[in-house]
Amino acid sequence: MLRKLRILVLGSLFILLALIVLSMTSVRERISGLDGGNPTGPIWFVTGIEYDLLQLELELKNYTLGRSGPEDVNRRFDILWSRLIVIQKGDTAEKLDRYQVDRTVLDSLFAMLKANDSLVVSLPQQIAQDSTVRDFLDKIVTYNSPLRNLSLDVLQASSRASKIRREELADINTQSTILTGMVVAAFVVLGALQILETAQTKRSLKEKERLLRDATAAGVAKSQFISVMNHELRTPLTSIRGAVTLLNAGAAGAFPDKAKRLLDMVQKNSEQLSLLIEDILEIEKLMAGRFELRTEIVDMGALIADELPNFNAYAKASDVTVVLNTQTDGALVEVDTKRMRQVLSNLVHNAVKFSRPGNAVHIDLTQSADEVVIAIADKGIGIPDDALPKIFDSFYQVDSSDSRNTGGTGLGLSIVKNLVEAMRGNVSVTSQVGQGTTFYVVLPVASVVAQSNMQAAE
Amino acid sequence: MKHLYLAAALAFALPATGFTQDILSVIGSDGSPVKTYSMDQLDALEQTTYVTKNPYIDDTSEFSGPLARVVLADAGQDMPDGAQLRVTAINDYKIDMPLTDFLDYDVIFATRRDGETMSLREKGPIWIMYPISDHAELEDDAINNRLVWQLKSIQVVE
Repeated sequence: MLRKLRILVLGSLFILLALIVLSMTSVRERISGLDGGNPTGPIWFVTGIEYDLLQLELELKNYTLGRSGPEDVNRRFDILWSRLIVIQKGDTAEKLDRYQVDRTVLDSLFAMLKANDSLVVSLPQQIAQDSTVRDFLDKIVTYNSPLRNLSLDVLQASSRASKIRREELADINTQSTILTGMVVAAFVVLGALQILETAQTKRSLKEKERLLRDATAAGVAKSQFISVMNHELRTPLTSIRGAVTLLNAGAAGAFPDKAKRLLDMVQKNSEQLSLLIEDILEIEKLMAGRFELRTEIVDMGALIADELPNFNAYAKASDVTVVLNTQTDGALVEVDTKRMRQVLSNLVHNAVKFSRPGNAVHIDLTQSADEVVIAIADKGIGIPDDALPKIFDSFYQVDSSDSRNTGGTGLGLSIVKNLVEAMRGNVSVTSQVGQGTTFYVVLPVASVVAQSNMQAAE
Repeated sequence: MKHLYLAAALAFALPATGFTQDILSVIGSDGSPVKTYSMDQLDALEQTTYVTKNPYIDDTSEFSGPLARVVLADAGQDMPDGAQLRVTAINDYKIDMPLTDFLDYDVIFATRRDGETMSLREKGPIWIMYPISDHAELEDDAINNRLVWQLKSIQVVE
């Protein structure tokens, strides 16, 4: 939000600056358009004509008085002529057109000069006795007053133009002031945005700090809880289990059948409770990364085969058999044997738990160039598709319509996943409701692990 | 009427002054003449020609004549840093201009416009010309004021 606003303000700022530059350029142009003091402007030339005409008049008079020669008259005549050409050409003519002054007097003067050109060019060294020069002089004199008027007209037009320009300049000045004000305002807004953003950053930093504090507090609370579980729950539970075991073993003499059944129930449930506590402590350790793997290279086929009797002993109670199908020799993996047994046990127990009596759980061991795959398949109730992604989450249990109490803690698969991943492997699952479920544990072949370790060390 | 046109044509065709008459004076800082030039003498100096516009003509023209700095050097005129020149025209126009203009730009004392000498009526015989078309910065009123026509004399004043 602030970001967008800032971009908006910055954009406006650029536009404003562009406008200011434009108006400055315009000011420069208009100032240069003012003719003040410029000796090459129209006023200069028009008054110049006046001056040159007076000079010609003076020179002619001097000539008639014998004080100057015909070449002097010619010079003055030519200068006036050249001046008349100047105001008919180039920028000066353009400006005079713009002023819209009546220039007929200039045209008339030029025509008069042309009419007397031959007279001037052929002025004799001695003063001519006829009246032609006098007539010419008289004609020249008649232009003095109209030229003066023209000068005044041009001066007026020029100052009118100047006045308009000055007014325009004043307008531009006002515009510039407003624009500058807007720029300042834009900068103020930008500054305010900056401050706001800084404040917000500070606030979110504080929030993060608070969250961190809370998280730390939660962490502390959790470890306190774990500690309570460990000491305040497990210790008395161990006593209870010990006592019940002793009672069941007849340490206090024989019990009536009804009391024996109740004692069994106590024993079974306290063991279940003990299992839950062990699992919670286990997952806590795994989550916190506070566990050590003692890895060694083992033959997975041999390891499973070694465990197989235990699995079958457990499965027998559910009337399920566990079948091992090893399709590979020397499936070497680098694992923590104790943890690997835990993983297998967890998965096989699950498979057994969800199998129907009389069915078999199949363990298939296969191997590719760089992977060893253990597939544990049951023909049980299956897992619905929507539950599949969650089964590795802690405390997640599929809401089964099967009335059988499976007695899980909901932590087993989470523990499996964490352990397998710690051993550089991965766990996945495929399932079909009513058909059964297959878990796959994929582990890198030991040599590959060794190789990648070497690469990592380089 | 006919002879009038003839006379007018004659007046335009004729140079304002002869080729041997002095038309330009270079004046020293103390006011004493350093050297004077006739059209022949100016023509004898190395000539520079360019086509340029200027605010006193329509369109463009080709101007030629010696470079101003060449004339000053030929006259043996010192050209100290920061010197000002006082330029005077036959029509009594006077203006002071910086000498650096002559050093920074190919300013010429134009004696020909489109290959023809210029009469007094055509702003001759000498018109100070700047290569305006080649340098945009010369399109300036201050420079326009220095395009002195009917040039008569030039003096280093400081």
